[in-house]
Amino acid sequence: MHLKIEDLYELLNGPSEKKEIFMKHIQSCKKCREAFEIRKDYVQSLRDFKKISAPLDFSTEILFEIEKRKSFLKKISILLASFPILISSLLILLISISGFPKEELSSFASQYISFALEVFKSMIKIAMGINKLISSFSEVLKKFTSASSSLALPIFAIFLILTFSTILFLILLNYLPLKRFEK
Amino acid sequence: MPEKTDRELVEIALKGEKNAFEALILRYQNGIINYIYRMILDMDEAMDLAQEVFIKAYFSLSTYNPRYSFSTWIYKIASNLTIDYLRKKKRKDFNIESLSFKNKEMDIPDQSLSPVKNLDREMFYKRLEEALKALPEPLREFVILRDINELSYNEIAEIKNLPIGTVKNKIFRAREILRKLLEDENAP
Repeated sequence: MHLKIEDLYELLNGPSEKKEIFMKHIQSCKKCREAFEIRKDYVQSLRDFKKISAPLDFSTEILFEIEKRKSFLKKISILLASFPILISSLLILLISISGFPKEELSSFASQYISFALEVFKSMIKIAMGINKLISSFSEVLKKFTSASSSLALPIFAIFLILTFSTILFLILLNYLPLKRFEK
Repeated sequence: MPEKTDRELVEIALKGEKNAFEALILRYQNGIINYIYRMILDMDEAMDLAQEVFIKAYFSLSTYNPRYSFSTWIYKIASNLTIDYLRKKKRKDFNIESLSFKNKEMDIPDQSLSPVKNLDREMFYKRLEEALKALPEPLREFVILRDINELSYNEIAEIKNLPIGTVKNKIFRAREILRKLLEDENAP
């Protein structure tokens, strides 16, 4: 009984449980020995196959290409960040020309603006310590929004746009590996 | 000073050190180029694709899991990109997948037909290259990874997400088809 083809390759695969048994058989069986030698030659010739070497500037070219793509990604991220502005403007336009109950939206918008102004005011207060200027600024804004509910909507839209753009921009900055290789 | 391991280089590269990533490229460029070239058989395309492998690796470096070897990871990227490329190109190989060698008792070829011994080396390698071309892609990949790139069975199993037994079987089938192709050519 001769060995199977898999058995012959098993001998080439390095140490295994069966290797000793197969080796014993090969020593005593001429046909199997010859078949094994042929397969060994084939595998060896594949290993000796002419290897291709990378061009000398291969790694430099890759690093250059990475830099190029990083700069492209930066531009794309800025474009993407401005995308919500376009969408928001479009939405506002659609709301304005459609029969949407503006009073309800305006009331919500006024509340949102008041809240945003309070946050804004506190932040500036802490950072700059110029209360008077902030108070007068917020008074002016409040006057505008209370005097005319029609003004609340565009101001609300601006706040929304700024919020969305900032969030998206921060997300993009976090996800894109832009900080690498800046040394 | 001892040479840095792949994992150390990845860590340094993630901190923004350009040279660390370049060291990784230099370590694996020849292996990746050879693997891709033997798969797609077009030198210019192989260079472009190999470049793409390293660029993809760079942008996904933060997803690399250091529990696995870097070589397996980079070869996995190379394998995926190469298969995608070949799929797009839709190369048509003749179907010799159906040839089964499983559990077949060996055929013992006449030693006098062995092209390894009979042809001069240059001619033999030319024929070997032709025979490799004729191998179906799925099998060719296994024989390239094992016998040309000299990766271990474990590494190949990890790259291809296959059990080690399947990998061994595919490699053995590929080698036998290759041998038969070469011997048929050499037959009088």
